[in-house]
Amino acid sequence: MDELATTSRDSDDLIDKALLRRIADEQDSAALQTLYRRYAPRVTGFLRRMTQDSGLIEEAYNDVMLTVWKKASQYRAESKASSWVFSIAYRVCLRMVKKQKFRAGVLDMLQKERQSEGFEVDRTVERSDLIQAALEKLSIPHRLVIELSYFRDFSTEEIAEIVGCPRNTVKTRLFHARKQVRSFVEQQGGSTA
Amino acid sequence: MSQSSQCRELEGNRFVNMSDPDQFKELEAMVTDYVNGRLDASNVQRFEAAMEHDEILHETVAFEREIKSVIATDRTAETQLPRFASLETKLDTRSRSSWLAGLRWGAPVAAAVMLAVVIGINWQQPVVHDDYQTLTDPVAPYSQPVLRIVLLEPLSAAQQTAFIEQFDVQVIAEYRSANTIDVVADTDVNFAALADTLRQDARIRLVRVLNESPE
Repeated sequence: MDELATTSRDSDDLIDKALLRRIADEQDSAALQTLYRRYAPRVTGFLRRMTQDSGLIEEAYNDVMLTVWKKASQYRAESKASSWVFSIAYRVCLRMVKKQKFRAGVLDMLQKERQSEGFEVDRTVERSDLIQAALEKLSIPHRLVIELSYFRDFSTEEIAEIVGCPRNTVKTRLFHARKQVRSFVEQQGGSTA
Repeated sequence: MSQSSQCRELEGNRFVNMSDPDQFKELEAMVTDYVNGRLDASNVQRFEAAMEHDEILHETVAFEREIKSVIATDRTAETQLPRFASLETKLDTRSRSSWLAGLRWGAPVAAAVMLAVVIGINWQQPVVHDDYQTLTDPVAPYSQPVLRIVLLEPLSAAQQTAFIEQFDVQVIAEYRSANTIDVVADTDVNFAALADTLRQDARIRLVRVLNESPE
């Protein structure tokens, strides 16, 4: 494991835990504000990946942070603070995508556009579009674990804490997600690696 | 594509046999953690040794890295970050630090209780907050087992709230001059076990079970 990255993650965790303690013990809105700023790029990036609807992101992120404010006293500090915050973001995200039905047929749209324009695309661009489209076609539980893995580099153990399921379930979901993405890319004519 | 059936010896007598579907499955389950650099050193060594001799595993890792690069590219995309001011107005900054807050009464219930107290209805035994009450004062006998807790130091209001939530208890009487509180369990727990847990807390000098029902 990368030791520098691990040390940085550990010190971030200590800071986050101290802020959560201040929120829980003292209802310290300044601590919440600091936490809000620390998590904004990470959580909103994740939310944006899942919705593609920028109008919803602030509302969803505020929903996450309002829950942090109200439930900070329930945080037990046994898990990483980021896992706890993302477990809230995960639930907000689930609610949001149910409302949104955001999974549009991106690939169909892309292919139609390209066909109509007789557009010869660059091979690498096409592959990444295909992978992106395949990700968007995944079921929500599969999509979320793969996004948490690669957007925020969470380990399978941390994802299990965030999602609230056994680690083996996370591994199984990742396996199926990978298989579906690969199969989709192959079907659409993009050979794999 | 051929799946290697080669066996390799690693770290003493551990073998990776890629023709064994269970071992392959186990290694495949490590792919994500491997790509994210979240495997420990011994598993990295094991994984890389296996990958060296197995095309399928090698390809799986390569494809996984492609997926990661598609997702991670988006990290650099500009997003307008939300403003804290948009949340600040929604925060309830009223103090949750009284003992009563631990009881989690909603405002309407609290209002009803206050009314009941005012009109003299002994609807529920209220929390005793009499600074002059002492431990030797005759206290109405409790109809249920109660834990009397003597604290080393008085707890701040916020600490009290945290204490209540930590142990899932309700404070039914408080003797401020003696750093003592009487509590009942909020949930159905073994009273003796709860008393033992409380005794291990560094903030507590003494815990006694009052009105313990005979076994």
